Amino acid sequence: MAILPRIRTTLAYQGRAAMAGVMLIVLVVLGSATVSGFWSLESLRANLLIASFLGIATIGQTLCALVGGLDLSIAFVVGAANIALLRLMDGGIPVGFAIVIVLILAAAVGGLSGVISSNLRGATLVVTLGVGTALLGLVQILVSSSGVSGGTVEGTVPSWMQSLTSLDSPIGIAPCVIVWAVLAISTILFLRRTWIGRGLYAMGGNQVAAERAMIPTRSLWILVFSLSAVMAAVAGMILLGFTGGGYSGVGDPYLFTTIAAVLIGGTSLVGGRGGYGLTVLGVFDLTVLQTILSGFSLSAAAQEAILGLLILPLAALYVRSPHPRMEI
Amino acid sequence: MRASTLSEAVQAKMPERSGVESRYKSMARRQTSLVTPFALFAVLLAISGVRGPALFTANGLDGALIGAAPLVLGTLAITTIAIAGPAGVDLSIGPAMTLINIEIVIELPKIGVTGPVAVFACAIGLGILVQVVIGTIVALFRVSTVVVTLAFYLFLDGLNTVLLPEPAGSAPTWLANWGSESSLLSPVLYVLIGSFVLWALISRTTLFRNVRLMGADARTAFVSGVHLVPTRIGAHVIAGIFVGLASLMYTGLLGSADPTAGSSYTLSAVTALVIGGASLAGGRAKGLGAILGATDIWLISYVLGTFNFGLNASYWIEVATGGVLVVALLVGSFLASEDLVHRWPMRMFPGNRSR
Amino acid sequence: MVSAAPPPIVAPELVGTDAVTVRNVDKSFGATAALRDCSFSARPGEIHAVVGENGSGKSTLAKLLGGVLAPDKGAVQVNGLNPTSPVSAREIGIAVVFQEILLADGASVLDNLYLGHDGLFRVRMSSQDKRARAKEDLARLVGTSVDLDQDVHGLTLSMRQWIVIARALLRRPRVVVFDESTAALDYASTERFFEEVRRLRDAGVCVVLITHRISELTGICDRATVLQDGKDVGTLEADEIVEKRLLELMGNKTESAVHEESVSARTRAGVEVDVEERLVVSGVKLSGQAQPFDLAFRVGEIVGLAGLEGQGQVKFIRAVAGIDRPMSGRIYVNQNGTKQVIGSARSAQRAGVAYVTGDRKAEAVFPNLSVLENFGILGYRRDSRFGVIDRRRVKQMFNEQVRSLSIRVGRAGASINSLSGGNQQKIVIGRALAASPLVLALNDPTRGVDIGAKHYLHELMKELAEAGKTILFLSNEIEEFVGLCDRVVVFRSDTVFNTLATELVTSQDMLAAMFGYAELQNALVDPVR
Repeated sequence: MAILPRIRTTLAYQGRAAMAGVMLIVLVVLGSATVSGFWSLESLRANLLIASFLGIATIGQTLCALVGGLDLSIAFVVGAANIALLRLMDGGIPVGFAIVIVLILAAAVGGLSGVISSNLRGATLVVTLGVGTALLGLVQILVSSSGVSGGTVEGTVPSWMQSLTSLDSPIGIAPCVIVWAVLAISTILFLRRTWIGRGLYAMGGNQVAAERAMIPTRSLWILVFSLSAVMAAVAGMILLGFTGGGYSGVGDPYLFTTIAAVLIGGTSLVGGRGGYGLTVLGVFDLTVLQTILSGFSLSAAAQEAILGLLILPLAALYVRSPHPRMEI
Repeated sequence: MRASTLSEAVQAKMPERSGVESRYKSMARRQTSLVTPFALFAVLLAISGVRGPALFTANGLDGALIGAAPLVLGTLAITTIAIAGPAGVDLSIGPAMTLINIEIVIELPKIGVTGPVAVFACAIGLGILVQVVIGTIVALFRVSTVVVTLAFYLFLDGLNTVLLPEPAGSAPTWLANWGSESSLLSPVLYVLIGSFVLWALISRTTLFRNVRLMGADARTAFVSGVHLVPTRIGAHVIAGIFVGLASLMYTGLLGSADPTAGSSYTLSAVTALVIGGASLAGGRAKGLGAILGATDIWLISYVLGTFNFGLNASYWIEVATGGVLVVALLVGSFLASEDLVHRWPMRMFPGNRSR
Repeated sequence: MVSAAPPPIVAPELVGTDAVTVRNVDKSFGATAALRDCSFSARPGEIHAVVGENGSGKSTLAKLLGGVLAPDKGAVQVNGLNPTSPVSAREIGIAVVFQEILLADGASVLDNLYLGHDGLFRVRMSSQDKRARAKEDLARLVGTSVDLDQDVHGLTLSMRQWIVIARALLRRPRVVVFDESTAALDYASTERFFEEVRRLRDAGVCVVLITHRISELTGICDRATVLQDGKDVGTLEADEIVEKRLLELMGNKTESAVHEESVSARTRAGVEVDVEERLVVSGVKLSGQAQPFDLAFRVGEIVGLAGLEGQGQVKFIRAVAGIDRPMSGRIYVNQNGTKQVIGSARSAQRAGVAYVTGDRKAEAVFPNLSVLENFGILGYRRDSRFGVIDRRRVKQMFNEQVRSLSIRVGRAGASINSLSGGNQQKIVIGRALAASPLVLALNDPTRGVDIGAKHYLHELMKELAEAGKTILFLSNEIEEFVGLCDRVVVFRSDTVFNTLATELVTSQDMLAAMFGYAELQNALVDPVR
């Protein structure tokens, strides 16, 4: 047990990146060995695409983790944005407007989570869970037409949206991956170079000191949850192009995979340590892991179980609290 | 700014705070956290009376008892974990109840275990087992309860579907009959009352007192000689007992085994916990609050059932549960009461604390 | 009548030996060494003081004795045995009253007194016996009878401290360690406390008194050990325990020379303090029942803020920094002819007020960020263009301050934890100075900082004042005001009680005034609560 504290104190950003990177290498080797066609072009393209969905949804989770919170509403927002967009478009609203409306609504919902949880920091998980559940239920009610349940929504998805996630794109990889890359680079730069980004780290490291340093902690907290919901909405809308139809449960896998990706990457859930670069590694780790598990013909349920087990040792590494004796 | 002799410049130390609270005032303060669940209970009961008076018949009450029992007992289970603090929210309750449900209906009969005593023992035993594993990880590694139970939610949820891909099976007859009781004095009532008595007894033990202390202020507990690891595991054992009992009720209600239907208990139980006035920071929660909170949640679904939402029924329940949780939290976040300082943890994951 | 201490049942081979033995102990927290090769021993039936500045390792020693922490090297023994945990410490017969008052809010006085007393399933003392003993002990300690069933939550600080003390004594320990226990006690309680300490000593208990208030000890201790920077530097016997000797041992050789001065060095040097008023405080009430007061601070002035614990000086300096808001009144800064009112932390900063606190772990330092970032974070928003931080400028200002403050830094990108306490504090001050403030509100800035850095900070303050800054300097160590401040404002009951002009800011008078209880008899106003 004495080894763990020592590992923890020496795990600076580089150390965590190394761990996530090593894990990726190991997984890739494992994948090459066990999954036939692992290195085929189609497989790579498909993996990148799947990763990009998760990657976009996890941007918000990373930001939340940096300030010491967690967003359990991401999955619900993904699903809600998915069916809301289709319904809006089907209702005759031009695509552009519909997207903007969904984004604004997402920002508002995220903002609500942020406002409530900013006063009740410790209950953030519960707040986001409640907001997310209520939101999805509400959207499902609003979206359903008589006789048809709001779970699945029929409608026509514009072809350009479908081509965003097309594996046969002329540029070699699905445009969605490019979108993710752009968002990823922007996020990393944002976190490293802007005063808001550094302010998030400061908040996560020492809330009181951050306030003394004139960082608007409350506003930034709300901003983070708002951004998280917006990113989740983006993912949900992109997924619309992917599946070709609306489905409220499309976000379900993201309930925990976003947290898992953040954890695997090495961003501390306590706050102040980590970053989106690490999360990208975590996303790849997770994607390859899921490929391997599928290669073993493991059902989605079995994969979920294994994911749960995987989180535990990582949490033991990255989300430990000091012994009360150190707080006296 | 006049100069003066220094002996005049010195003052006697004054006590910083004045006012000693009387015994009754502090007792009253502790009771105020029950106002919310009580008020909600009264309101919901009134609405039920108007929209669904069938509730107040013997049949209706039977249905209410078995309908609410799983949640009531499940909430009591996670209340213990909330008391043990810090930020002790147990998200695994839903899938855990489902796991035991599958065990009772599918696995145990395979080895011929169907009698009441044996099934009771196995259910409670399994509940304790799951909770002890969780508790040991939380205690030994000092990892946040929320994260560990999150992982267990995933693990158990996946495990349940692997064990039983589709709803199937039927519960042992004696248990299945619980779901269709016709008289008020049914085993359901007895088990419920027995559980409450058990809770009352347990909450008077030294172990429970130490759990409260550890949840309220782990440093003080540590320095006072409370063994933190055994106490935390002890809290999880208590929780495990009630998880087992909750699952028994759930199986009785369902009559069969279902791999996914039980997951929603997680959100409902957490909502009931918050409504019931539990302090998520640890140390303070009342069993009565948990019972009332769970009853409120059940009443909400009952009231919603009196409207004809058709296919949207489950969505309305989601909206209501999530909404009630959000409103309860919203109200809690704006109420400027002293209680508040102790009710909400300052951070989700204690660490990097600067005092 | 239940006795205050058990008959000394000491194992025959231990008679005459030390009750507490600490031998060559090392203890570090990360990069900070709290104790270095420290040794200490105390006998049964003596009152042994452990004295030292803040940061000298006293509290760490208390935690080692109480079984809360384990030494990295060396041995800790109490009554011949090693306390490995609070439980074993209790069984060995040592009780420690820590600096932090550890009580369970929401539980009654009785519950708090017997915390952890009972085993998991068995009860060691009947309820009646518990009550009887508690009632008696508390009555003796507090002076009045106490309601055992009330919640500890609303009690006064003094009462809370008593409960923690009573809790320790209830177990009838053979060794008791008090870490700064008089800090929270009101005056009359402190007298009773020392009476109790004497009674314990007379009954054969070994009492260790940890304190940084030298004047409390003369007259009560049998021996005193001085700690400096984690090492024991000497032990004095009864008649040697005088302030002068203690200060000398604590490394104040150079400072005691300064203390001999009867007039502020600055006044002697002929430094003129500007007449222009920079910071004006008008009709400010710090709390409900307090008296409003007015103050004015001039350009180039160094003003000390003093007072016994909790008398309003901290509230005041925080109000100047905009962190807390006074109940009424106005505080403003004269800046280029305009009046900038301070209403919030942000308006204070805009008005040119910089706030530096000694509690840097809690309020100033970001443990997860590098040295450079800890410096720059205060000005990032200001130094950004379109949101992007101007790194070159930040690095530039960083280098400037490192140079001018002689901060010992390795790599700018290294973790802040690699710096010593003194250097960390310099970073905090440097970042405050980088904003070119007009007023510096220093709240106990030298807390936990070694002697060398402390001296440096004092010199820095003089330089800054000469450069035209107005400095408010709050400190709990009276010696610091000497030779430094132009005047000292003394607070009492959340209002200004008095201001001591320069001629009166001397060491002897100040020490006697703040610590000497003999003088206090005349000044005593309020009766025992």
